[in-house]
Amino acid sequence: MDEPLLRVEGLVKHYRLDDGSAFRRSGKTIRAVDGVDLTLAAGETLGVVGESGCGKSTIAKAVLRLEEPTAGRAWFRGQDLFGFSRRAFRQVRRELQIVFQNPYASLNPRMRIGDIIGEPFEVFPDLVPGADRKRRIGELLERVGLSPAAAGRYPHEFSGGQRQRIGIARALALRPALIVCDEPVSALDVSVQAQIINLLEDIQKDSGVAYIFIAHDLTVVRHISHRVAVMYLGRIVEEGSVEDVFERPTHPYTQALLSAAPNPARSHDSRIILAGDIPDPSDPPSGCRFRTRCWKATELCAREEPALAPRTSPAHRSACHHAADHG
Amino acid sequence: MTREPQAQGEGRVLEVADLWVEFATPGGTVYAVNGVGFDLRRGETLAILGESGCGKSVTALAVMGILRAPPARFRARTMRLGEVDLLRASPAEMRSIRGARIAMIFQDPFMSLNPTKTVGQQIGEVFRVHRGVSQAEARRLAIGLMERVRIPSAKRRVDDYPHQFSGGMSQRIMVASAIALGPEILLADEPTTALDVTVQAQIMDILAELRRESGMAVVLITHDLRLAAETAERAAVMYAGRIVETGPMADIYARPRHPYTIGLLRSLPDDEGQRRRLHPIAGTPPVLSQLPAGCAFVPRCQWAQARCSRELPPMRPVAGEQACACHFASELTLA
Repeated sequence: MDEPLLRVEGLVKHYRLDDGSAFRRSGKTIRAVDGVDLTLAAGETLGVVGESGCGKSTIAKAVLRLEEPTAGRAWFRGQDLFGFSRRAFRQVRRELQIVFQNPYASLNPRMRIGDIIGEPFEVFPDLVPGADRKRRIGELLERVGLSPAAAGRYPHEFSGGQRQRIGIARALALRPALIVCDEPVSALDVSVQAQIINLLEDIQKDSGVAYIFIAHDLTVVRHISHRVAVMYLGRIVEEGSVEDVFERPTHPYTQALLSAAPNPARSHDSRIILAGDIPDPSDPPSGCRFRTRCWKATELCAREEPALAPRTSPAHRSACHHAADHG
Repeated sequence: MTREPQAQGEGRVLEVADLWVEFATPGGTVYAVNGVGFDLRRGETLAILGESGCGKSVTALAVMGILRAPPARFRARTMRLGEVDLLRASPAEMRSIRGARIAMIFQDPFMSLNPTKTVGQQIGEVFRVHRGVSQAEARRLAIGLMERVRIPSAKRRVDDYPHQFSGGMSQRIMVASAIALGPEILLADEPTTALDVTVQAQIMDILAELRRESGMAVVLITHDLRLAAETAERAAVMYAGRIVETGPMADIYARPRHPYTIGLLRSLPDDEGQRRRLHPIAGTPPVLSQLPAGCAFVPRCQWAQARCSRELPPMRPVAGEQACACHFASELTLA
C-alpha cells in the first residue's frame, strides 16, 4: 500500500487545568483530543466536522506542533513528525501550512502585505533568491485574486474576504503539500464565503495541495471535501466518503448533526432534537461519550466504548454499538 | 406555503414605514438604514435577511427604541405597535412597552446577562419591575419560565449564576426573560449564530413552540438563508440599508427576483449536496458613508445598466405577494 501524505495514529492532546493556586493543580484534565487516527492522501480534502469542544481545531494544532501532542504518532510522507527536534521540524513544516478562521487576528497590522506574504522567504532564505521575491509575491497575490500593488498596503485597508485571500497567499508561499484550513470561511459573509471556497478549489486543482478542512458548516464541508470525519468529545465517531457520511450516516450523533442543520429541502418533522448540552470534556461519560444524549443508548454503551467498525463500505466506519444499518 | 392575502391593517401588530437611521462618526455620516418599511402580522415569523452591515440589526434597535442618540439620528414616517404610535411615545411609555409588548434577544447571551445576579433574579426582575410582585413570587415565576424553555432541573438552577450555564442554556435564559410578560412581538437578532447547530435546533424548536402556544410574532434577523427559509413565512432581504426584496419566504427561496438575492442563493452550496461550482457575488458591499445615487448593488450586479446608477429603483410587485426593488426584476432568472 502506498504511504499516504499524512498518517496520524492515536493522537492525544490533553490540557491540564490550573485551579488558580500557584502550588496545586486542580487535577482536572481537558481531554481535547483523545485517541484519533487519520489518513490523508496527496491532493485530497478531508473535512473534519463537529461542534465546539469536539477537538477538531486541536487536531490541526497538534499535527502542526503549534501545540505539542500529549501522545500519538504522525507521519508526513513517511517521516515521523513528532520525532523531529523542533529545529529539524521547521524543514518539514514548510510543506505544512495553516489558514486561520479570523483574518483580522492572523495578519500583523504593522506589516505591509508584501512582507506578510514574503515572511516565509526570510525564514527559508535559500528557497527563493532575494531578487525573485518581489516577483514571486506579486504572483502569489494574483493567484489569490488580488493586485500585485496590494503588496505595499497594510491589512486594515482590506476587507475580511481580502484578508483571508492574503492569509491563503502566505500559506501558499512555500508551495506546501498540505494546508490545514481551520474554519477559513466561518467569519465571512455568504457571498464572500463562496469566493474563498472557489479559490481553495482552484488552488487544489492547479497545485495538487491536500487540505484538512475544519468547519462547523456542514453544507460547506460537504461541498469541498472528498472524505469526512465527524468528531464528538475528542473522538472520531464516524468517517468515510462524503457520500457515505452525508447520505448514509450510521452514528446517531452524525444523524442528529445532519438533521439539525437547517435545510429547507427537507421536512422538519424528521428532525432529531438532542437533549441537553455536550458533556464536560474534563469528565467525559464512561463507555460511549455520546450516550448521555443518545436515544439509542443502552446499558452496554455505558460499560463499553465502541470502536470504529466498517459499515456500508470498508472505508465507512463508525463507533456505535447500535449503528444504523443501511445494508 | 401560500397564505391568504390579508386586508389592509388587519392583523398587523407592527408597522414601520420609511425608517431612516444614520450615525455621525469621525469618518463621516454612515447611512445605516435608508427608508425601510415592513409590517408584521399577528403570530407570523418575518425574516429580515442580509449580510453584515446591511442595517438589519439597526432596524430592530430603532423599533425597540434602544438606539443611542447621538451618535444615531433616526426618523420614520410610521412606527406603530398596534394602536400605539411609537414615534410619539414618551420614554416612560417606551419603557413600559419594552419587555411587556415587544422584546428582543441578541446573538451573544452573555453580553446581555448580568454576571453578578442569579439567573432567577434576572428573569424575575421583569415581573418585579412591570408587575410589582414579591421576590418569592418572582422566583416562582422564573422557575416556570425556565421550565418552559426546557432548562433541565430548573428548580435547582434558578439560583445559579450566568457563568454556570453554557451558551445554549444562556440563550434559553434570554428567551425566558424575553417571553416573561407574553409580548406580542419578539425581535430575535441572530439568536443562534453563536451556537452549535444541534443547540440551534433546540432553540429554534423552543421558539416555534412558544409561537404556537402564544401567537407571538417573531422578527428573525439573520444572515442564514436556510434557517430563514425553514422558519419564516415572509422575508425582507436587505442590502446597504434598504429592503431590496420582500414576499413569502418560500417564493423568495424558490425564485428570488432581485440580483442580490439571486446572488446570495447562488453563493450557497447545494441543499442536496450536488457539487456544482459556487457562484459568488463579485466584489464587496458598499461603504455606507459613500452610498451611490442609484441602486447600491450596481458595482456587483451582472445585469446593471446605465439607468441603475442614475435612478434608485422603487419597490414594485413582481409576482403574487413578492416585490422587488430592481428596474429589471421581471427580466431576470436564476440560472
